[in-house]
Amino acid sequence: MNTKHVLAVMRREWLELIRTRTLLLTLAFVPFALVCISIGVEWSLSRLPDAAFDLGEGEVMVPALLVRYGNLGVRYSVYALLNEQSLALLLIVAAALPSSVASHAIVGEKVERTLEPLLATPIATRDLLLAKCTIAILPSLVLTWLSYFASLAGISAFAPPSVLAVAMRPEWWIAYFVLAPLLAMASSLAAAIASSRVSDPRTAQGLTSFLLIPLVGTGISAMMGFMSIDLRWVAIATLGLFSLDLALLWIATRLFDRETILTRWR
Amino acid sequence: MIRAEKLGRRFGDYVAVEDVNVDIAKGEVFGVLGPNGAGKTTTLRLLTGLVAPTSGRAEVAGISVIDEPERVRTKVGILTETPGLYARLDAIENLRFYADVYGVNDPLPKIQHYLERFGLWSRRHEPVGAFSKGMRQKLAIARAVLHDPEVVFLDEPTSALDPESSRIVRDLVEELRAAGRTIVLCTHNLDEAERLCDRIGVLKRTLLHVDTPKALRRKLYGHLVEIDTLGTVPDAVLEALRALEGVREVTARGEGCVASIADPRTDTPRLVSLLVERGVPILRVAEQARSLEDVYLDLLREGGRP
Repeated sequence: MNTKHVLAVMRREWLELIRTRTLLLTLAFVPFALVCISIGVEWSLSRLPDAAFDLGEGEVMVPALLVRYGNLGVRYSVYALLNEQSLALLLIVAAALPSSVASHAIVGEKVERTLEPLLATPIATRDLLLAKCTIAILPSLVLTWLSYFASLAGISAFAPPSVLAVAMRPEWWIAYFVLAPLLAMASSLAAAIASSRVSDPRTAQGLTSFLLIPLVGTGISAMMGFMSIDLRWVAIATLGLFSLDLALLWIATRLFDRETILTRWR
Repeated sequence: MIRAEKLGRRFGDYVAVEDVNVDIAKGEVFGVLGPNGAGKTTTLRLLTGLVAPTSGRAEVAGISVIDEPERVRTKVGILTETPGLYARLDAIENLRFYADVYGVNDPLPKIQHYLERFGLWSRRHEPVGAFSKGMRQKLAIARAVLHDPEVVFLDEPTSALDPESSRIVRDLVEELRAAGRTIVLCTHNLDEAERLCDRIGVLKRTLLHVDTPKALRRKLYGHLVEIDTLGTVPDAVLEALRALEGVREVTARGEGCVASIADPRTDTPRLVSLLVERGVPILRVAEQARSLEDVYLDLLREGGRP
């Protein structure tokens, strides 16, 4: 890997990205809306009387909730469950948004006809893709992390510390700060692969979403308790995603055929 | 500096370029002339390692474009068909990026030099998207030479440029030649090709002819002699002129005729003598400079070797 080449491309991609305000605003909309909904739900819950949570013995969810959240009681277990669902949904942001940036980073270059001079330089394909995909994940990661902190702020405003503690469990920290970057990189590289085979950013994004459904589904199932999460699971998931990223980088490099891109795309 | 042997490229059944043989020396300015779709861009892409040949071989600066295309790309600078600049970045940022990629040490003085030279320094902080077509073209040329490459490929460098800017580019080409750089210039501007190029290759899928501009004209078409007469030249006299040794073609033109001859020193007196013999009053005899454009167009019409 030529670090100078990677850094040069990253610097240039970053400069372009921060000047593409429409794209950034579009990217920010989904996490912003999710956080608003999450805080709105929290606020609504806080205004409900205790009687509203008196679900009775016939409610099938209650035992499961109490098992999952221990001594929080029904009211705050419901809070915690809804919060966790929001946090899991926010993780999709980390997985989905990089694909749109990465698709534009590759197909966009072709559309704007900047690709040929770039490919005429001695930059290796792997370095080019790595740099582009790394920058593509930055906005979504920053947005995901900001959304997480905004959600925590919302929870602390309308719920007791015991509910906040659920949202700050180590699993969530690992999910947001270790798995989310790896997932984002996988999404970005999947977009790079799709972009190498199609000449339209929207098609590339569509293909990427299709590739990411199993990953996101697994992640959400895990976070929602349908799969049991422990440190072993986290270690396996981290290792698995890291390996997946490496494999995707290898595939993306192999499939990024400079010649086809230059001569066939119109 | 550049050597191609039977170089060719097919895209499926379509033959873009075939059987290109050329040897371009260090410090030479080599012009490639050809109509749209003749394979100029493909040839440039083959020689810069962007596209792999399907037949033949080529070396640039002693490096095989087939075996080490990445290394070839460190030795060349290319001005592509379209400037291909990053519209949201300013002129300095665009050049800085390429300087970093090519590993140019301390690039800012060089960037300043080229931006000043092309009259872009005062607009250096504006996004390139706001630049005119000509300004972008000049910036793209600066990008192609910024890293001081051994070989520079310029695809239509003066298209979209005003006469003053075209002159700056021509001066730059002269300067690069003086500095021992090899330049391959694809152009439709025949006047420019004639002025700048040491040799010209006429490309139409293959290199039809390669020679100096002057020799190309002579070798293929000889000399043209324009003869103005008092009144039209009778057909019988035209036929007699055509039958003279060394005369390739004679065409009537208003009051007079134009003759294509092999050697003006021996053939022009023969033409004049015959006209005098036949009683055709001669007003003026002059050698007509045949432009490269005429040669080029005729060549393409023929589409083959002489």
